[in-house]
Amino acid sequence: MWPAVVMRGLAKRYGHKDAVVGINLDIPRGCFFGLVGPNGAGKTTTIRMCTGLLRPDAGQVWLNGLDVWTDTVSAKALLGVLPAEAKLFDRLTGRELLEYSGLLRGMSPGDVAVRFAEVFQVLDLNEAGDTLVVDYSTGMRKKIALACAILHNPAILFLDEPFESVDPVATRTIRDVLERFTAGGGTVIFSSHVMEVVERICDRVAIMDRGRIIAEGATEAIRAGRRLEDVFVELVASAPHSGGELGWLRAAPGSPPAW
Amino acid sequence: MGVSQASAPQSAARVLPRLKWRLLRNGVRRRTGGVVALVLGVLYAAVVAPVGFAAMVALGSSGDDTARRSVLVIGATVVMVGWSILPLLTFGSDETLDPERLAGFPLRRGPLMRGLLAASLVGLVPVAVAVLLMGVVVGFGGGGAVVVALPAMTALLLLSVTVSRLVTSALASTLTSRRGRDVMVLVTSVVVLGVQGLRFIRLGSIDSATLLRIDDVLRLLPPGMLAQSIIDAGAGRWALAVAELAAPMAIIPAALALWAGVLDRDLDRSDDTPRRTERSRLRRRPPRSELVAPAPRDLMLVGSGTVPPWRAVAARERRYLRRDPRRGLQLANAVVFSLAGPVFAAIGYGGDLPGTSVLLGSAAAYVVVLAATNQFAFDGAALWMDVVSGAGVRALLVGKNAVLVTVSLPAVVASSVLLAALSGGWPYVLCSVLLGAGGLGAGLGAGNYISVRFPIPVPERRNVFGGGGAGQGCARSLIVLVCFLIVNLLLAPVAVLGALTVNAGALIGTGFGVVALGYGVLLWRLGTQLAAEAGDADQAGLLEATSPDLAA
Repeated sequence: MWPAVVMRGLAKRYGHKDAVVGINLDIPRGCFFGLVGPNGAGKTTTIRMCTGLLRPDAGQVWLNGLDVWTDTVSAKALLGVLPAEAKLFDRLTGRELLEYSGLLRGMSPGDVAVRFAEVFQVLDLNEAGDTLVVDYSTGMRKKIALACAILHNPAILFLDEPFESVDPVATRTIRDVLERFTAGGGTVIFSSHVMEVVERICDRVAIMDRGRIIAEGATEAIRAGRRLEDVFVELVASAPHSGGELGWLRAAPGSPPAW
Repeated sequence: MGVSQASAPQSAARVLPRLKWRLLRNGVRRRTGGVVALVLGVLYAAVVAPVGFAAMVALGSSGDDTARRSVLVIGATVVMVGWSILPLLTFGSDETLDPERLAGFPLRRGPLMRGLLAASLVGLVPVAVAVLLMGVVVGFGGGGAVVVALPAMTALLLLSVTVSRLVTSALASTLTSRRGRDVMVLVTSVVVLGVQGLRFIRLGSIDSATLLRIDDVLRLLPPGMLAQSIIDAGAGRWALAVAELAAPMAIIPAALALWAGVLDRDLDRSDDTPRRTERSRLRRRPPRSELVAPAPRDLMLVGSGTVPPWRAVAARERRYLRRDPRRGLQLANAVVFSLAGPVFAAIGYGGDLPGTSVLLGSAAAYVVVLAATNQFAFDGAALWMDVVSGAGVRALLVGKNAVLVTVSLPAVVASSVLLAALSGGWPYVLCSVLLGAGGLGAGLGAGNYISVRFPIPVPERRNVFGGGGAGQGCARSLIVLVCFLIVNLLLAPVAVLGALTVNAGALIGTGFGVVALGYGVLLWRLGTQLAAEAGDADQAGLLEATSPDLAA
């Protein structure tokens, strides 16, 4: 049986900058997979290439054995996506946005009605159902985007920074939903800077730096008894500072400008 | 060490213009085709500025005093009003001058204001206007009048910049809210509609007497007064000239003081957007009964079977027409102009309106068709939702087309019936509707293909400072021009059939209408098919083109 996601030689270049450099990665089905890395490591670019939102310069991606860039429609039917800073059709109400997303993916209106009642309840969005999405807070936007991503019961969920700018209550809610999803056999791939969350919920993890995977495996194996954050910093941090720099920072602060 | 070697701190008055220049330059570097756009912009300014300069010099030496005065007074007013309101109406690209972005810095007000004013003068358009005003000084400054012309034009420039900063700063907080932006779109459309209405109704009939009456009013206002001072200085009325120069100059400190107050308010105020959002959320809280057992509404989607994706797209588009003022007003403008065009053209016939004038009603969808050449622009970055759904570009286009047809075809019918009622040419109504439907089909077919192959992004941020499209106007205008040309060429056969109907009569004309309809259907199918193939082959490219900010 094919893994949920297979990447081979995946590469993308922006101008003179290599964003992703020939990634090879297999993600098993039913896995909670964390993709971590410093800013600019290529996480978002990788996720966008895996979800059909950005054409790679080289390489291939298979989802449950379907090539994203040749079996496009079939592959996308397997997918749920939550992009970072997702721009939504925000002149729709939350309820309408969910309807739209479901119907566009071929769900019947009856199924949409049943599911979104439950999804709204679980994500605590009930009171915002008739509010235009443009008036939502950041956390509510994340939740409604997640609702759109899971409504059609996808096999694989790609989530780019799902916990960024989200309060602890919403974080817990989203986490519960995702854990329920993987318990049912779904696969979650998400990028994050929050090492504690990754450490706590991910079965497997890949660490990216400068467009490359520099470590990948079971979370426990990667940690090797240490905190994931320490491992991460050790792997991706540049040369250690001597401590002599920024000496001026200890001087008396706050002098007003001369002009 | 570093501190001792550091140069002295620079004033904000020097830093801000350099900041604007660097942001403009880097914006060009970052955007695809930015260099081409900048080159085109420079070429445009390089043509407009010297032509304007030469025109002002030539006008200054002409013997027609009335023309000299009218052009100068009206021109000065246009410069100031344009400079003041264009940043609001175009949601311009002057992101560098947003005072809220500077709120975190320990800037004193004086240098900040000087810096913002100086930064306002950095750019192609300010340079072109400055050259134009220099043309006025050279052209009208003969006989010693230069001693008035030079300070007058300098004052006009300063007054324009100051009032512009005052207006944009005063409205900045309003315009960064969604409702504020919506109101501004509404105001923009009303202004555009008003100007176009004037063009239809009155502009052709404006004579020199009317111009003089306008001129008499405008020269009592500050920019007109500055222009009038140059005319009076040239005529030797020195006392009057000095008085006319002094009065507007006295307004500048007052405008600066007002702006200073607004800046103080802006820089002290923290962003209250979250509170606004919360208030809005609470206001819109639905009654409890609506929260139970919700069901899809307003979609005409009943039954338990699946729904063609294009119908979901059509439902979304209909909602957006109601809720997004940019789209709603774009379509409303298109329909109003399309209706107004034939009617005004018919009025041009005079009292004896021929029955064939009904055929003009077939053109009622023309502006809608032109607007359909960039159908993905307003979706912007939200297009990712459609791309990942796997629904296909054909479904998106058919859904969008369906809404355009439901709006514009009734306009064709209404326009034709209205003209028939005025002319008695009822036999031509069916022919007109068929021709209109044919044109609509042909135009939408072409528009679908163009929308996919040459999408032009619309800025996501829509506040007064946030366009981010500086330097690309010329390139985009050229693309739009070529697209319009293609659409018109494809519409030409329908227009020819309409022209043939005028001589052939209603019966044969109806046959021509059927032919036009067949042509329209054929072209729509062909255009949509080609568009779907091209779009599906590169949906990611379409997304990138409509939301360039994602492609960083």
